[in-house]
Amino acid sequence: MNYAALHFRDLALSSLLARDGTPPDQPAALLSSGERERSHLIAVNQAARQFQIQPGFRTTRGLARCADLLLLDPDFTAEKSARSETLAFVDSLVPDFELTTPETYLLDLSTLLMASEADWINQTLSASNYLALPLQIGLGKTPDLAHLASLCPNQADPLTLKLANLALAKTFPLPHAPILQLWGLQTLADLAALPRQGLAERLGKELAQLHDIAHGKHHRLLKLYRAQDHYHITHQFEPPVANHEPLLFMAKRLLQTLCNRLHHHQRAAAEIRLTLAFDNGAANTRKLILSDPTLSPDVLLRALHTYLETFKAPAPMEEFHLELIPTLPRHAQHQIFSRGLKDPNEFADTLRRLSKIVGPNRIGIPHQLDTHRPDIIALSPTTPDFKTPLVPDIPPINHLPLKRQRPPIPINVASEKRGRHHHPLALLTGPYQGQIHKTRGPFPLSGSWWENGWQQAQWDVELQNSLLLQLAFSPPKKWHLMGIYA
Amino acid sequence: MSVLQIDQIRRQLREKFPAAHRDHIPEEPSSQATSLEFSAGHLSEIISPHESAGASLIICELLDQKRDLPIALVDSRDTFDPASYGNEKCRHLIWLRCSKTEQALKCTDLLLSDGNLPLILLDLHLVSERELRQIPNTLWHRLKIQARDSGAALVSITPRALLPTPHRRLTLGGHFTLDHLELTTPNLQLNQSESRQIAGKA
Repeated sequence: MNYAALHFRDLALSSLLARDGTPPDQPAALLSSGERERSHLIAVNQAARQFQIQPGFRTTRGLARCADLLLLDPDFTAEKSARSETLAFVDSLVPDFELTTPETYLLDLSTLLMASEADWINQTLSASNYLALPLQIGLGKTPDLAHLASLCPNQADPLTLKLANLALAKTFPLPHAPILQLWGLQTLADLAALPRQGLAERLGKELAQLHDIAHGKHHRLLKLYRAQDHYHITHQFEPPVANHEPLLFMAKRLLQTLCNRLHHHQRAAAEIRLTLAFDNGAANTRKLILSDPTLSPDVLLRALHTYLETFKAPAPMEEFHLELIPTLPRHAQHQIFSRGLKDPNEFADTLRRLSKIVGPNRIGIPHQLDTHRPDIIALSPTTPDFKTPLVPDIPPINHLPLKRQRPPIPINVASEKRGRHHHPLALLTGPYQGQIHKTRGPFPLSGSWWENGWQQAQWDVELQNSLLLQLAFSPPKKWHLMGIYA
Repeated sequence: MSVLQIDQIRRQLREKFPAAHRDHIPEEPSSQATSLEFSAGHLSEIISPHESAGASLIICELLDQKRDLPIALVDSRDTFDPASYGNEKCRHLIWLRCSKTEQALKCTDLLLSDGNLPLILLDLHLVSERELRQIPNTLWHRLKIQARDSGAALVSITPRALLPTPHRRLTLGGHFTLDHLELTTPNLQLNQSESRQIAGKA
């Protein structure tokens, strides 16, 4: 026999009985949630079955058959704990197994050396005593036969399994069960005795497949269980530390461990999650997204370092939790005819550092917004892929670019009113002074009249020393130097 | 293999097999644009002796050139006006809006040591003489070494000769009038003049 199935019968109920130390001869049942009067039994133990109590009975019906029936409410924590324990137990038996249902495990015994199958079953049963859970073991030459065998108590032949019990287990599809009952079929052996072709023609392919399973003709592959890997480490400082240097020192070592784990599973880090716990009970969590998945501890450490450089701890740190979010490593071939970023992660780190120098929202790809108001611009955040939002191209009005003064410098201008507009004659104050040689304008601009309206008249002026400036006149008599044509 | 060698190989391949990478061939440069090619791994300087000599036209010309990666403009006085260039050109630009010269120099230092962007423009055009004098020569030496190591090119736009030993130094000689505001850009470029090129490499 190549396969074994371990079936922990009624695990949800058994875990509660094991927790409370209830003797196995005590009839017990697990209740559905909700009001006690309207509840029904969702699982019963072997002792309760002896009183002809079945899952699905109303509670009152169950109590009518056995007055000593122990009724228990579901406890998901205990059930989860029991599942973890059974999983650890099975993991200790064989390297390859399938978690078929929460109560059933299919084990591949082909790599296992054993004296005899009976010995192995006995050893496994005795090894599972510490779980205090009822365990049924079945062996088979195919995974499904082993599974069917595990549903039979006392290692009985799987073909002796009653069809009614198989339908209750709901692990194998058994359509047309009432018809089979009318035909007088009681066990799986009865079903296996029928001709396959006729069964398939009359009742469908699913029963034909069950027929194949019973004859050992259906041999499927196991869906091997692999524990989900977690790439996180927690470190406690004793005593708490006041600055980030010890944290970086420890993080360097721990990142190496985490990166090795990732490498072992052919994964790369896409994100760092750092959680800091402080002496005063406060905590801080930060998510650092890497621009390019990496396995380099140095790159990860640099990202941490950049963040911690400007982080102000409210109290001494007593613990930090480091988690790497795995992703598939990116395999991109560099282009020989075009140049790309040498190191996207380093560039992202540089952008973060630059942002700290110039301030937030002071670095990016600029674009002008679709308005006539001067100097209304937006900055798209720079990312290593240089993606920018699609904005309409607004061609410049002048062919000589302006160097803009931000904010505009208020100046005194000698002007003369001609018609509706004030014409500038000379700049009296400001960085550039002198008589105006030539002017171009005015260009009246206004907008947002429906709220805080603005209005100005722009002038391009040329001074005697060939300096080209842009001025703006705002009513009633304010002049500003907007920029210089350079 | 250094960035300089890779660029050289790319250039040779482009010349030898133009059909193989037609999409990546830069647009046919004008005679003026040819003079605006700056060597990777070196520092260059563009001097604008007076305010309206056409320093912004240099940025305009560089944004016109087809590149794989955008240009970084370190704007020491936050005077760059995107509206004067249009959104299409600005897509190839990363603008760093600095408020002090010290900030601009720090940003340049970081960008050069990073070396991911091939061309960095440091605009010191409207910086006062007093602040320019405060920039130590050792800083330019440091930037030169970083450019050499990373393969990035730094072009500094200054009101006077500032860099001790630039690989290339251009002087703008543009004189513009109000009439030029309505003329097309190519006519304006003709007013720029290249003064000299430093023969010896730094």
